[in-house]
Amino acid sequence: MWGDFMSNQQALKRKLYYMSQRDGLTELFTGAFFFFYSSIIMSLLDFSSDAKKTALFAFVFAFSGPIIQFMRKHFTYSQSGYVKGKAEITKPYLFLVVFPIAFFPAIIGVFLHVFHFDAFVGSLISFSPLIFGILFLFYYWYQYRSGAGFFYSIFAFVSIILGILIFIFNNQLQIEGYFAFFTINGAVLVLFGIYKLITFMKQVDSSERK
Amino acid sequence: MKENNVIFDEILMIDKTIHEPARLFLMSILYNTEEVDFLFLLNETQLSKGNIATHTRKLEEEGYLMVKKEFVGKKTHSTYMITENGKKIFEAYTNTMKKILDEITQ
Repeated sequence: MWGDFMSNQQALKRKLYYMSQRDGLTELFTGAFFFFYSSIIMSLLDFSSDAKKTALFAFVFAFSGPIIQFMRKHFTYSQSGYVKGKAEITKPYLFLVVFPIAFFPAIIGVFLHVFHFDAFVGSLISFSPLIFGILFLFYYWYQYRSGAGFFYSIFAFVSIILGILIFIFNNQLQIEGYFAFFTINGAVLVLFGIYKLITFMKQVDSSERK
Repeated sequence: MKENNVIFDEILMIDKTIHEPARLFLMSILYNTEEVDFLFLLNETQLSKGNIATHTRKLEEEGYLMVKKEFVGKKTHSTYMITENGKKIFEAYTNTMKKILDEITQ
């Protein structure tokens, strides 16, 4: 075991990253946010200002990190040992998920209200499931390569297929295609997060009994 | 002969603090994470509590890691993270070791 660690730092990094994510809280939070972002905030509340959507998104994400760390330290990892994965692994999350989602409403707002490119905005919205399908493909695949688990390789392909399918059938869906993409992604991540959390807590419980 | 001397010099320059197996194990965990707590190190390394405390104190004295202590309920919770200096020393150590082993096994 000792020799393995020294001879393969990359494997160790992957293992430690997996251990830092094994309670499923990241998936739970991200999935819940995607779900509410798409189904409630974007459609039902119908915020008039696009800047508000971006600001709200930035606000939630700024606080979700510390909340997750707090919950891990005090609850989920309190019995098994707390570990926080390398920051360099989580950076692509910002560039592939957070920034594109946060700035998407802002970009639409700028083209719609400043440049009055209504047709361009229409095609941007129609293409959005495909754009996010590609971004999520890279993000999930990167997670898989970083050691987050085999399920992420499945998510990567399902995500791009979902993006393509929604894009193809977007004639009927219009802007709802964008919402549908995030609702489905969110629901899948929440379910996966719950599954991971239950499995993890069972493991902690059984090791404590031993 | 000259090459042997170069290898010998490199061996002599190896950081003795990290070279100790338990400390190297701890450093490799810290190098590949942002922060870990005492319990995690205990479970992962299978070292005793006393051993971990001694080795982490040594590494802290050398400036290779930082310890953050906070209260969780009535208990002290120690979190460990590698310093910038610790990262540089660890990278230098692994590079030197790789070089030496490559030259020896050639």
